[in-house]
Amino acid sequence: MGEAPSRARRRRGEERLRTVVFRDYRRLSNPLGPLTILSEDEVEHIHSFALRLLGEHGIRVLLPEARERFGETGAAIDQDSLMVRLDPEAMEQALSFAPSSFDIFSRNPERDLTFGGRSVAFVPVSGPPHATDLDRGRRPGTLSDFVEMTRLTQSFDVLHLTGATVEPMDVPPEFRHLEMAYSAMTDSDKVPFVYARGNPQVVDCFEMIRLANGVTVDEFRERPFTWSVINSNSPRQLDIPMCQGIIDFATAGQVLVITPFTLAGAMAPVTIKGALVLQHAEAIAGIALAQIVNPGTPVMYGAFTSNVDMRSGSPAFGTPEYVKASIAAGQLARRLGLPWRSSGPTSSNAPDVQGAYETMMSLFGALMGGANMVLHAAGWLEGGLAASYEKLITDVEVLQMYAESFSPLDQGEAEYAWEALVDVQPGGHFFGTPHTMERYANAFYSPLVSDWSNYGLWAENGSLDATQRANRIWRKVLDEFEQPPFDSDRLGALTEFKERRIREGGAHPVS
Amino acid sequence: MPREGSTREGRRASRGGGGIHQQAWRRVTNPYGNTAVLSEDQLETIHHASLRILSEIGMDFLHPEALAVLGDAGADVESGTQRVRFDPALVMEHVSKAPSTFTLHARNPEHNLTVGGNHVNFCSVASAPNSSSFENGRRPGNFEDYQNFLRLGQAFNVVHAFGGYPVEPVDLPPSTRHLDALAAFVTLSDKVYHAYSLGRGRILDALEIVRIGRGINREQLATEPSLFTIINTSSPLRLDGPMIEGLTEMARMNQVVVITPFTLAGAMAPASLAGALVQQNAEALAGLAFTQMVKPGAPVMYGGFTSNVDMKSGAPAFGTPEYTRAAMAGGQLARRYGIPYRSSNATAGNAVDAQAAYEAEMSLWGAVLGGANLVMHGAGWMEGGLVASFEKFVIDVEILQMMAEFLVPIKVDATEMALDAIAEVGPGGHFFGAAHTLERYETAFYAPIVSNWQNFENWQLAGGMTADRRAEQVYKQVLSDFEPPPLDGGVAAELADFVARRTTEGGVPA
Repeated sequence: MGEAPSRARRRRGEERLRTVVFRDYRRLSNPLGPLTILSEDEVEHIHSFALRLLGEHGIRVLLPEARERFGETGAAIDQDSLMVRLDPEAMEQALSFAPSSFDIFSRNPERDLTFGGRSVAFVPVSGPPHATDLDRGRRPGTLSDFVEMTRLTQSFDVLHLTGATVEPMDVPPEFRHLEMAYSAMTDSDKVPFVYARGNPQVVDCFEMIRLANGVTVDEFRERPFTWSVINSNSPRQLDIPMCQGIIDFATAGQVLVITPFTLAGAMAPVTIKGALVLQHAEAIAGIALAQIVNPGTPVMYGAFTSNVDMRSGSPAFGTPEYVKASIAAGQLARRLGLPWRSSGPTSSNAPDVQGAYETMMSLFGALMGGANMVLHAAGWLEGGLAASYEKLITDVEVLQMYAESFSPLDQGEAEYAWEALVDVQPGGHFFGTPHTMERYANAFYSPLVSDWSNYGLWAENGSLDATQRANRIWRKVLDEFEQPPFDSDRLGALTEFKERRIREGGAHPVS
Repeated sequence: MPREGSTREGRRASRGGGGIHQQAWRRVTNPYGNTAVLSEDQLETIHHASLRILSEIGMDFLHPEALAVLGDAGADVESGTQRVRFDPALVMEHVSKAPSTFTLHARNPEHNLTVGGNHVNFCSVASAPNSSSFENGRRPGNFEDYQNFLRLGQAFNVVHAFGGYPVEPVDLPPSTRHLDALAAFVTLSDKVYHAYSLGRGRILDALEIVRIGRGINREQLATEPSLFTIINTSSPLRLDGPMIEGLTEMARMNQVVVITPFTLAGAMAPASLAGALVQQNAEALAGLAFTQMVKPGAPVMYGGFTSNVDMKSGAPAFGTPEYTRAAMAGGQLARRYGIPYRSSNATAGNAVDAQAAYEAEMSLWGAVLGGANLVMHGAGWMEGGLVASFEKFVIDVEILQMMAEFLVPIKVDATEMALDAIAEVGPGGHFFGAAHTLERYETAFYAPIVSNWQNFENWQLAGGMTADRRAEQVYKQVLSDFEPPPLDGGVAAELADFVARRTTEGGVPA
């Protein structure tokens, strides 16, 4: 990148940095597509093979209560192998209870969301053990990183829900859920995510969210205020925390995103089609369990099929196979009549050009496949092992660009610009026409990170690449951050609860 | 064993680019259909508004020959000016004569291109005045860089054609530059290429070079489109003289004319997407109709290059949400007239960074799902077209390969669904050693040329190189391994004689 920019140049760069422009990206609808990549016959084929797989070969279920619930619907249970063979008709019936569309509620009603149809919502990266940025390097995640990531998430409208952006490794495991939920509820007013790491932690988090929303226990059960992701242990296994998570969330009427992690060539067959059959089967089993526990539980069909590099065994994301699998997953989810979740991952180790093009490919698959929720849409690096501050910003730019692409062309006659076209003579220009002047400020998408200046000006401003510019943006956003308003009684109750539970020793995760 | 049509062929490691594993040469088609951003009503509104522009405002044609052709065909040439107004029916009558699909012939018949339908052809970067590489920095274009870009374009199979000079070889004298530059297409490549419409003389030389390169006579050339030219209108609503001369000679010889208005909303076009599209469509229709007046049935393409300027600075922007929607809308308009469509892979980025990648992907997304049959500037373009970058070329090749692989449909059958393998591998197990896996080990998935999928620790141990640096290694290896495609000795001699003679004659005075 050449020599470090001089102080004066850097300052000029900072001045040029626009204060973040907010457009209304709060409730997005995607009018494009969805593309189809499977014929209707092929969709039926995969669906029937998945049911056959569950019926003839079964799925291993490690939690006794979950096996019992499946048993109540006529599943054949082998108590030695813990294999549960699921009756196809019982599965179809359970699936029929799942709503095709549902709302999720926030402590700020402006952040409420609908999942279903053409709705789409973006969630930042979730789950990495590491945080990384240009200033502080790559390190194990801390609570301070989690708080900063939550604040960045809160600051951009195009991120619709908060996620478990980075694991706060410096907080003892028994207190971690309390600190994460507290930050999620105070640094943001968006719908929070809760990990299903055993019943005691889930109960704590539900209580904190209930207090933050100022609702009664009954009101909390009547409407979803939070969500979690359940990953199956592919192939064909639901372990104890997953089953418990499904039961806990379904019982409380909260949102479950059932996501098999089917890496073709590793935990799934080495063809995308084979991986899709496995994904579909595991998703059906998890969704059915939720519906058996509590018919009508809001669920999403989760898809995370990608492939490994067959030479090294490394997982790959944003590949052509990943894109095709996403679009196919959308078709399979629509076959079940369910909203569905996709992702925006990359395998890149740096927030570089590979990180950008792989994420673009992933998002392309998600959005052209009609995904209703896109998880890991901002900040994901290293196949999910690091949360990158700079990548979060460049990804926000990409998400905003996609969001803008969803807006229809203006219908008004004036937009056809007849007067301007008549005014300007052939070979002239439109800079000063009334049509242009009227639209000057808002005619086009105004970028967050992209620098469209010419090379000379760009070089004069320090030759900062997009990642370096993103660094300045997140620092500015954090510097200027203010917590969203919070009713003081609710905040007090929330704080009191968290402090009491810490005094009581918190709750250990169950695995 | 089940096969997926061209999939396996495409995945078979090919060494066309020296030691680099890449996709084999193949024709890329889009089986998934096109994305529509305009409703049928909006499409018709734009269609009628653009015809109204041509009928009420008209367009300037800056060449007396063109005015004569237009007048003879029944257009209304305003006397004493260069303004031409068109009756809507006249425009549509002539536009309807254009073929909906045609073949572009390369000197190597395996590299012939189908243009039309759901075919997608990718071109290299074209027309950059500067080149750049990490090693030698940013510099004015020169013939050495020019030839190296030709070598890259020839070596990478996913680059189907050259959409012009990748970089302008400004160290060559202007009067004979086209002779050396065009001859290099023949000697360093056997793919389809483009000639600039910068006046009659240069296009006539280009037609002769493409004829010699293919080893055919003029009659055969006139039945086999083998060369294409981009005609940019001088927006708004003007077509310049040198472009008109090039268009005319190309059409007369039945060669491919791509009419591409450069309609930057907010500068050369109104500051709304709809307005810019109306103007793009008016200029494209006028150019297409004029081409058909010169020679009915001549192969033409509808080019879309509508983007917007940054309204705060006036800087042109590419790969924006507006650009992407304009690209998709352009495809709808081209299909409205049954004419093959050209789009681009453009970015305003100044570095081989995240911005360059995401803007390129936004552009390609618009092009591929918008139904583009020819994607100009597919590999290597930066800085809004002011630079051809060696590293970005390789990055774009990776992206194009991924797009091409994405466009190979999934086929569902029992074997590929691997039910036996799923049953064989128990719950919680893995598929690494399954028979189904071992059979497909090498060709199962897309193999990247730049992307690195190592974990962080291994990546760091190996030097922690970012993708732009890895791309540098790739292009250098491809160049060092490069061997030009075979060229018939007689053709080479005839070409050398022609270039020598025309150079002695002074080429085409600037």
